Amino acid sequence: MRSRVLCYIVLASGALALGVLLGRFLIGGNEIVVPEAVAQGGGRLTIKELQEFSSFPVFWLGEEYQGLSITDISYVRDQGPPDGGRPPIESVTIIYGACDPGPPELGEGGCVPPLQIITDRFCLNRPSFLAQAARKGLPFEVRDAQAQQTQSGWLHLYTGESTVAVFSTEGDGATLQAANALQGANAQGRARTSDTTASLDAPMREEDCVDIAFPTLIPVVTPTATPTTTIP
Amino acid sequence: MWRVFVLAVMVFLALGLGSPIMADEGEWPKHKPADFNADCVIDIIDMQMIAFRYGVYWPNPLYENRFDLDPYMTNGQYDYDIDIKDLQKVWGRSGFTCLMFLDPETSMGQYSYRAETPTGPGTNCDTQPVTTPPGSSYYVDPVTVVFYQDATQLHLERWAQGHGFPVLEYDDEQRFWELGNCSFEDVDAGENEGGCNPTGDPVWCPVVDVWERMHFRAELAGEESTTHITWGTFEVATAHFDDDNNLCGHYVPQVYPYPERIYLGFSGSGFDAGREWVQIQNGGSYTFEYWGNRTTIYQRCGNNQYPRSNGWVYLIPIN
Repeated sequence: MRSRVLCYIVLASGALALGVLLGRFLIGGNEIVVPEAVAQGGGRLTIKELQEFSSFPVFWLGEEYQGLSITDISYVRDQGPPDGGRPPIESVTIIYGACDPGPPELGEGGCVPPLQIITDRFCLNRPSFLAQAARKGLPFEVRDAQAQQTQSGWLHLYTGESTVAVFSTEGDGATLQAANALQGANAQGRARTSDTTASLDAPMREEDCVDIAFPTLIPVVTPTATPTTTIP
Repeated sequence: MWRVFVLAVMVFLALGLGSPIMADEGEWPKHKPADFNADCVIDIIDMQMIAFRYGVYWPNPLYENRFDLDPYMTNGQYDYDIDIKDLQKVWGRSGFTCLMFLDPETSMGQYSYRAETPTGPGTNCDTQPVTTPPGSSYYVDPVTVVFYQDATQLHLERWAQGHGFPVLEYDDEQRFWELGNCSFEDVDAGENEGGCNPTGDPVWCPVVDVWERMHFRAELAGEESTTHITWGTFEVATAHFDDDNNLCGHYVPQVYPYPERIYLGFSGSGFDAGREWVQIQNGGSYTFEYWGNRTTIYQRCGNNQYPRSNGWVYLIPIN
């Protein structure tokens, strides 16, 4: 009797594992599930929301690049400080691949994902903004776009109305290789670069930038901090 | 051939040691061509890069103008060979750093980094190679604030305690890459003692949201006696907001959860919130620069967060 029950348990476990595997296969292993976008200020985007994004041309490396699938897509729009000091922020960040932060005893450091692409509005991240101390070497051209390396390992491509920043933990060569594989992610991006062999637009003139005025935001009420609840 | 090279180097060293190049303030641009890998220090790496090309002439593929330093560094002309005089330009400047020459374009301290081994008391920077940058996969919190003018360790600690960061720690938690060397934090200041496990096991926050805090770590550039031509005595800082989680400790959130505490329309990560909070606490004048330090630092704690800085750095004078 006991051995029959054990047999049922083993069979049921096997069926469950097979079901999970089949389910993942049918759904598609590369599909990413991310929370819905936050209405104000930004948040995470799905691939569909990224492709429908319409504020400015956004670039990416497709849903997968050299075996690295997308692990996070996020959008941020920040008004800038009320003193009008630094400019506002509007950008889309796409993370490819995962990393392992290691055991907790290494501290809170986290880890750097292998490949990152950030697309900004050109006027909010234009060549003259980058501090001299942050530049590495002289500007050059990549697929006709203006390119500039930074001291922290990024490659900035200034193209049309966008600034595309590329970063790879594999170093400058891999970063440049990724920059050469950029293509449009949304309709505005695809209109400029249909495939990875096409050249990119030269950047728009900085003199043509006008002040960006984001819509006035309604203050968001933040929930009060949870009262001191002791965890059992 | 290699014997000739070694002999030539020995002859050069004998000559070079007898006639050291004198370092004058504001001269880094004159020496910069010898810093081939542009890491702000002329060291063994630069020596290896030019020694590898010793004896080549144009149009040998190994020949590159940027290694042809003599007479270029004197009159801007190339002589299309890499000979002993070119090597002398590098060896004679061994150990020179951009900060020595008070160059405002220093690339010092633009990122902090983790180590292979646990950080904290008892560890030291020598566990990492100190003559080469640790590599981007070692990046941790981005530098987003520069305290300058007279930002000695004592002055910054005093500033922190009077501006909403009263709790100081001395635990050497974070390492910085500074002028070709590993260096530990000098100031570590927070709103509260932070952490989620201040008294012992188990590793979780005993109380929800109580151990959240604004926090920064700072690194004094060079020595207190070394000053920057425009910043004076300065420290670079990695400001951030630590969110807490009762299961895994604390983390820097991808989206700061209390934007109205910063300003209307604020949106950003815990790194962005930390930088803005430092300036809010400062309340006085400040300037800003765009360094583009935007590398995402994945945080497993907090259910997979991908925070990054927006790349802006605030420069805050303190005395």
